[in-house]
Amino acid sequence: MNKGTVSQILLITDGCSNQGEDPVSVSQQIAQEGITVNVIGVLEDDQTEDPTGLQEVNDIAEAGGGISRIVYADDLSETVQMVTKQAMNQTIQGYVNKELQQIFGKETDEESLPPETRGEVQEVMEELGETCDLKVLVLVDTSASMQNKMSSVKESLDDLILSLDARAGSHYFSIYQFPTRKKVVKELLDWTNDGDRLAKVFPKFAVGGITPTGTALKEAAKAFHISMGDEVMRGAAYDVVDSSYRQSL
Amino acid sequence: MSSIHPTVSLYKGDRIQGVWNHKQYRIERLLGEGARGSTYLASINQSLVALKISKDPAVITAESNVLRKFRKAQGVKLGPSLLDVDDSYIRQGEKYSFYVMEYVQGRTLSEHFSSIGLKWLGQITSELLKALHQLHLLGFVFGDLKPDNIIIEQQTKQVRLVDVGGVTQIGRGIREYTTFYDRGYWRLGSRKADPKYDLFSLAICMIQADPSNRLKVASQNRDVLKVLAASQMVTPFQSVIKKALLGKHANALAMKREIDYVTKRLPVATQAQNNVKTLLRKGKGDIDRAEVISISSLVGIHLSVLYLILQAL
Ligand SMILES: Nc1ncnc2c1ncn2[C@@H]1O[C@H](COP(=O)(O)OP(=O)(O)O)[C@@H](O)[C@H]1O
Ligand SMILES: [Mg+2]
Repeated sequence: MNKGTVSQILLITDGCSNQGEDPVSVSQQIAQEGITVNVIGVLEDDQTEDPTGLQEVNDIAEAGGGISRIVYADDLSETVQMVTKQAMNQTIQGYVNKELQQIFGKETDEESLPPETRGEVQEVMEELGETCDLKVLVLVDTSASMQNKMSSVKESLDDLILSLDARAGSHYFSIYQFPTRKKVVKELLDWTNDGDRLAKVFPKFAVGGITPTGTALKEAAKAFHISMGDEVMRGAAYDVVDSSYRQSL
Repeated sequence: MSSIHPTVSLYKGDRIQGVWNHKQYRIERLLGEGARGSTYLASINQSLVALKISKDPAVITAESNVLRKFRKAQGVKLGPSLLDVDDSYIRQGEKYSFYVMEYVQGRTLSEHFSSIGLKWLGQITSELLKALHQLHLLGFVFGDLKPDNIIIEQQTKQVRLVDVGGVTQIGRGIREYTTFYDRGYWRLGSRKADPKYDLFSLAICMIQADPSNRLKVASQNRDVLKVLAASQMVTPFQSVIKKALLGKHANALAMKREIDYVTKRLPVATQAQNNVKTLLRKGKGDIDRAEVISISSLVGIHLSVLYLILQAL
């Protein structure tokens, strides 16, 4: 946690990556910069709840220090806000446990305290969870198979904004899609806290079966390094064209 | 903790032994489970208790914190009383946190809906509003108000709130909610904790008392006011419910006054009429046409007799 800001990427996808960088190792690198990577896998209506094809969803989140869930499109709204909240709490918990270790010594974490003392630590964590600043970058898979799930995705983002608006702390979100026809990743909405701007975001869908998840993650993560007033630098973070990606089209 | 479900499966006869306070509980049966853990009926020294256990220790700490605060507040009983908070090793050696509370014996409001009459609905709602008002005065909202979390105590017939997972300090983001009872979901307000949030959920509970309500169907276009207009069983309460949905009551007491006003003026026969209506409604779905016609003509006679009696009074 950096200056009271929790930074997260939320990846929403329905399949395995099949091109570009390895998303699991990219996710690990992103986590090292203090950004959590959470992943939600969206199932087809006729898919079973635990398809092997979506194992990558769990692996990316695990490497990124985040949370993963695999759900049907209908359950996206509940899931998106819950994953975001739980991951934020997890980050805060990690931060508080580190503090505890500094005070009480190496082996101390919340659970090694007696239940009564734990209650007080919990209140501190809740206070932090309510008041810290939160930055969420949503990276949406817009490969052809996602097309019929897009209305659910949009609805779930509206719902997420409702939950974020209810917090005392401030928040910023931005939205990226991958892939598009010509690019690996594209910015749809720059950092904002204005939920109304969500309504104007209409991604165009890619055709063909290419899902460059790793490369997209890596490029999108750069958005966290750009300070918000920095117009010059901002252009570099999105609209990235990966040469290997173009060749294969 | 990344992709776990926080529920913990225990079986009848399992022993839960606390590592800090050393009390031992015997599991009797599952009461319910959800996104935050599992609640079991358990016994200790011949008495029954409810035991909530979760793989996420923060859930146990947060909820027991809330129950502890309620314990300090004297007066109206808010939520079950807290008896113990501890950790226990489970079969394979994992350690999970749990808390133990009073077992509220009775049936949930959802289990009562099939037989609920209007007058009784008014009384239950009124009692709930009294409890909610106390809670609001303490600076909290209940948050996850829904029929599953409202129990009518068998012995005393008192209305009790259980499952404090949603209890939130006023001004903060609601901690836990259920889609259909959430003001934000219906786009009729924010998810910030204010007393009116509970009044909204309570209004949805009242609509649910109409067995033919179309809440689930309406989720497509999100127009809860349309659902209300079509919920004929609760007609006498419709204007109060509408006000609650739109956040137009100043506080829980204001809504309570209006509920009481309507309840007092309900005709004595309403209970019988409602049963008749339910019968009719059931008839439409379950029985073939010929039978429906004969039942409804019978009912017609029944109603006209009732009407005559009422006129005579
Ligand atoms: N103290 C209690 N006494 C009796 N029943 C309870 C008690 N606490 C919870 N329950 C029942 O168990 C169900 C599940 O409770 P819980 O696990 O707390 O919530 P959820 O699964 O809704 O997150 C509740 O809806 C309620 O009907
Ligand atoms: Mg519950």
